[in-house]
Amino acid sequence: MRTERNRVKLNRRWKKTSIMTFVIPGALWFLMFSYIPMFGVLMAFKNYRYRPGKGFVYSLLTSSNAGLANFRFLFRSPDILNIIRNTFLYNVVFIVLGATLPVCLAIMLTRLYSRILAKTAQTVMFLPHFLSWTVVSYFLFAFLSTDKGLINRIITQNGGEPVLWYQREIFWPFILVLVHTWKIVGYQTVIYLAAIHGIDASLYESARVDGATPFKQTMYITVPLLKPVVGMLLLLNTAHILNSDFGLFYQVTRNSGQILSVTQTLDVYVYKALTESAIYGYSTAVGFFQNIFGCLFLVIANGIIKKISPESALF
Amino acid sequence: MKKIKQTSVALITAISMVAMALASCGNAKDNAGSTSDSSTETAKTSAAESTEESINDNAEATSTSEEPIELTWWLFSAGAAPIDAALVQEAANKYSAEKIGVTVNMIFKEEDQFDLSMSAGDEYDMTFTSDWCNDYVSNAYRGMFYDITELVQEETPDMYNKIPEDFWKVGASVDGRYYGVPTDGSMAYMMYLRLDQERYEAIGMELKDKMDFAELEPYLAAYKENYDDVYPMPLGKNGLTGFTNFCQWIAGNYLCSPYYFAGTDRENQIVPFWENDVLMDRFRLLNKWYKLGYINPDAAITESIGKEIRASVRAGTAQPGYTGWSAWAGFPVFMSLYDGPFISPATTRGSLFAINAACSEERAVACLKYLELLNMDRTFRDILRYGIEGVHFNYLDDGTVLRTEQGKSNWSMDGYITGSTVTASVESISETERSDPNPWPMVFDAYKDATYSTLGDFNFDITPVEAENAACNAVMDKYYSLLITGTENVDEILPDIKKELEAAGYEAVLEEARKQLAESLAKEKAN
Repeated sequence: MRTERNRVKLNRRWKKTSIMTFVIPGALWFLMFSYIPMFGVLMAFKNYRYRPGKGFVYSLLTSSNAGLANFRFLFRSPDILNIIRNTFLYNVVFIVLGATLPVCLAIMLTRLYSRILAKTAQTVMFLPHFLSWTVVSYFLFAFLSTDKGLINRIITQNGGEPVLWYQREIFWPFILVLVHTWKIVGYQTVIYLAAIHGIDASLYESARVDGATPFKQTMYITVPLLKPVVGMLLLLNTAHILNSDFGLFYQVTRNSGQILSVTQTLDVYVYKALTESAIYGYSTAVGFFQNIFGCLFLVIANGIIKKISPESALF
Repeated sequence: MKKIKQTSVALITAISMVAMALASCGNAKDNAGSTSDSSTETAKTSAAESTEESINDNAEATSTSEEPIELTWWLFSAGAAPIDAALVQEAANKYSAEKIGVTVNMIFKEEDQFDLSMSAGDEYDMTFTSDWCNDYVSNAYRGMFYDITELVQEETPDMYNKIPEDFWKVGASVDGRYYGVPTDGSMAYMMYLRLDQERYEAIGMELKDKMDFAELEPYLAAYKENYDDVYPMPLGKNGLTGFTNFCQWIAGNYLCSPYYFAGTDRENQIVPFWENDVLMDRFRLLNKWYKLGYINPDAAITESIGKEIRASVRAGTAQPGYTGWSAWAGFPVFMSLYDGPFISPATTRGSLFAINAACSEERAVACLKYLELLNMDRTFRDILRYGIEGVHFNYLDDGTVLRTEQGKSNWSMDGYITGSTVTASVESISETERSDPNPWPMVFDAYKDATYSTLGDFNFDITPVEAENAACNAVMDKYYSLLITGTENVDEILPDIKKELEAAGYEAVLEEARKQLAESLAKEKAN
């Protein structure tokens, strides 16, 4: 009897361990590509100079100390406050839109009676996700080009003056938000769709029996049960509050000089300042700055969320 | 039973993945360790017995031994590596192994890759370096390149004497030391307008061999009137190629010293670009043309103008008798000189080959021997320049070269990428349109009127002000395309540019540049 019980116990433990082994490749991946390279942050505090024949690590360790001098580079720019404002505000808009619009779309999709229509809509929304920003940039240029663009052709055909889209900064916050949403929303919707499909169907059944309208079902079943997922994705995004999508802000705007005051973000600035001279200490310093800030923001946001709805908090 | 199978499969996969990952890491480390060890050892031994005899013994031993020395050679490539690189490399290696017992492993890199590879310490023996890509002077200052001053004169005197002295004294010299072998070719900057000869002749306009930039206006106007299918002067965001080459650019696009300062009271001066009147006038002219509709309205945000767009005028840097542009465009192109010739350290540093400072002396000598063969032996030079005879090109009866279709598509690069242009044979456009088999006397004749740089062999070491320079570069990136394409009026936006450059600290860069220039000129005078 006892040996039988022991065998069951052993079997269970073995089952657990065997499942745990699936973690090993992932853990190793993180170790090799996320934890070990972290020592490279040292570069932000060094005047890195390669020593011929000595290898990267030796050269890095023996380079002279720079203290915080590498960080000063960022604040040499006369536009730095403007740049940080742009990065921050665009991210706030993207995070807010990312937490609302895809949720609405996902709910609408699940409410469609025609399966074919739902699948088609989902696929069409998902497609832009596979386009690179360079391709998107050319698509947009086909619409907005001053002399050959679709929109200006329509305007001039009707006797209007062509609009210099790439020279007027007023349009760009809207264009960028629109393009970003168009490209990203399908992907986010799929995440929420998966979460909605995971909700126990019997909840809806009993609600229907009690006479709840579809709107009430959504408000009292779907939304509350989605909250943890929304909260978690929101939190993860706040960690990148000072990072920006280089492709969106550099390629899509075609790096037009006249609209920079509303389109230049930190990553774009670093690229532009350092393409002529590859000073890796500076770019590492900026990356470090972005991540420290992001980490700080994450901790604060997590604290707030913990107060409001503890089950969505990360830690 | 089934469960056990599943778990064991999972375990085995996990374990094998771990093992593979660890194994690949270990190998990489071992390799790196062993090569660096051996290179330091050989360096030690060669340093210990650095008498001339032992070096000669080594050289003989390598040339007679069965295993040739294989050198890793980094070459510049504007895009992907040429398709037939492996074929040509095999042919070249066969030839060089027989002659000098050295072979190469060619690795093509794009402009950005050089900086990263150099900083990360990727291994190489010989690399492309220049004034505009993989910067020669700053790498030499950082000690990345092998000092070949004595070695090149002792080991390869033939090559040293064949390459004109100016290339060594003006181009290769950094504080009097040589860190690279220059490529013998055009030495001066000569900027040409490339005019659409066919269409201008059709509307009866006469083209001149030499013209001022402002004289272009009536040509643009006539072209716009007669051919409304295109903009007369379509531009990309970098403007006309070579447009600002009449100045030596000291820092980014904002500090310069124009050649026309020579002989005036502003000789030896470095100025911010707005004190360069010729450049400012050209910016104003471009803005006028932009407003007249001669330039495409989206020029500042256009990457480049491909050859599918027919243009009345393009521009470029070449030498007299150059025939490449007509072949490229597919219609006769007329070359009209508008700037130059100018000679300065920068113009002679269009392309050099440098040796890794971490190389042993034996390998450094092998590099030099290889470059010597490339500079002395026309057959060998033509292999690297044009490919394999009969496959990529054929010799015509006058000694010029005609590329085959395969040669044009699979092994077609600019001459400077693989070595000297003087040593290589000249390319003809077709059987009937022959090129001058020896254009070089004509080229060197044109250099007689050259304007020389008055800055001597001044090299700006930007390290002390690199933060300011980076900030200034970002400011200029914002405005430069607008100016060089005529999109904005320079007089209207100059106050903004000045204000931003001041905040970014251009004055510190200017001060440092002027200080270093004064020191360099004083040193030259003392010698």
